[in-house]
Amino acid sequence: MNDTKSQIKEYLINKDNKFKSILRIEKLPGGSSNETWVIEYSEKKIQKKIILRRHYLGITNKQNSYPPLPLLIECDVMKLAQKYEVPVPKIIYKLKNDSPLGEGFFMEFVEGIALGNKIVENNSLKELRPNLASQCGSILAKIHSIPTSDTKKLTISLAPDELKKYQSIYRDFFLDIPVFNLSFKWLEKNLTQNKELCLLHGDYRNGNILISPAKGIMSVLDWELLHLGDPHEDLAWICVNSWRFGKIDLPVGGFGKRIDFYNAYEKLSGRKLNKKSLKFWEVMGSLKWGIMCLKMYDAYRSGYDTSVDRAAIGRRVSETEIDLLRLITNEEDNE
Amino acid sequence: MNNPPSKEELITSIIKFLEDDVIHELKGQKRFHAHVAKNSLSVILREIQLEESNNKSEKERLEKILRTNDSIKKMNKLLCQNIDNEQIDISDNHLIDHLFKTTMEKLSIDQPSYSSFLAEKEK
Repeated sequence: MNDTKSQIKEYLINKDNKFKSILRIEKLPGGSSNETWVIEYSEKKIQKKIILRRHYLGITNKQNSYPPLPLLIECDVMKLAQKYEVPVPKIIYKLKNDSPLGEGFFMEFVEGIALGNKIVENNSLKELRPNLASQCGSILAKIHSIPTSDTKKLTISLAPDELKKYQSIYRDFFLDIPVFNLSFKWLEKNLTQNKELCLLHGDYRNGNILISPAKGIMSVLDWELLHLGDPHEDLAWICVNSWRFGKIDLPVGGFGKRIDFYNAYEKLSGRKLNKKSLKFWEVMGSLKWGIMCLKMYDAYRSGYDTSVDRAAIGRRVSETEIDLLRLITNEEDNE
Repeated sequence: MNNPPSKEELITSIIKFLEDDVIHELKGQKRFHAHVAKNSLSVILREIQLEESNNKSEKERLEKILRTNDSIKKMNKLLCQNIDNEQIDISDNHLIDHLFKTTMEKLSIDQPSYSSFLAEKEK
């Protein structure tokens, strides 16, 4: 760890002398395939911060049939997103392939709140909250408007591909969770036929949207799951109950209503949303999060990361099981 | 048999220690991990109290649905196979009822404050 800190310092000082004033370098908690570091320095007596995102080295050693997206592609897409008026942090330095820090990039630190539970509860956001759903809808429409011809290197993953991918990841765990088998069967029978492709963020949800109490939505973070796919996928993911942080009656991220979110999206994108596709992707989303939890637990089981949180996250799978059952057996559309 | 404290008392004392003396002393990732550790101990505590009765009722339901008698693990494997090859229809009422009950039992140990668990309990 200390080794990484000195590597970060050395890299930055090489880039700019102002980094001789580095006061603190700290790794932020969380992240599955990527690490996030915050670097604090002083410039003209003002304290400033920048962020480093790089691949989590523990995972890259492991054989992985679905390797994480190269961070340099994430970095390029974030730059592109900025052109299309999507709020994203500015990229500062892109690490070269042979950098001792591995693959990654430095970006500006944006002030604000991103933690999902704080977004749904914090008093300082009380006045902003009623408008967040429609703002999120408009921002997502902008992300989906980024031309795919500029993003040739990205994976295409439509509903059958996503289904197959998560089915195979689940099978590889050799665990028997009947609700998951039931959900896969339901998804097979209700497979959405939508074939329209657009650039998806892939992890557009409460927790990855940075909000300032004074200025509103500041940045869309964590682009590591971006790919080309069905726009309904991104629209349903933010509504998955795991991202409502207890506010079950506010389907959009625990802060807003579906109608505000969908209307704003439809208005700006010109697309007409399909309710059956949204439901398909919400079930897929909940199942996906359950399998991601299993995957993080698997990092513990296999000995790659023996921290308490990797062990404990396996017990969050049952949360997605109840959500899946409630979704699948609910014939009515949600509010 | 061991002398007191019981395992429940031991775990409860560690939870209290983490809550009162440890978590607020820590920052960043360590604080997060200590918090997770405390939650895991609460899971263990609930599991000690509920595991036996939960497993008993899950086993009884599985025996009825599958018309067989085996370990829970093997019966769940069989149930998954039956769902995969459509020997059991996914809209079968007994199946759905069993899965709801089992999931609620799991959550009573894993996460009894989870929003969907609470909403479902109210029904």
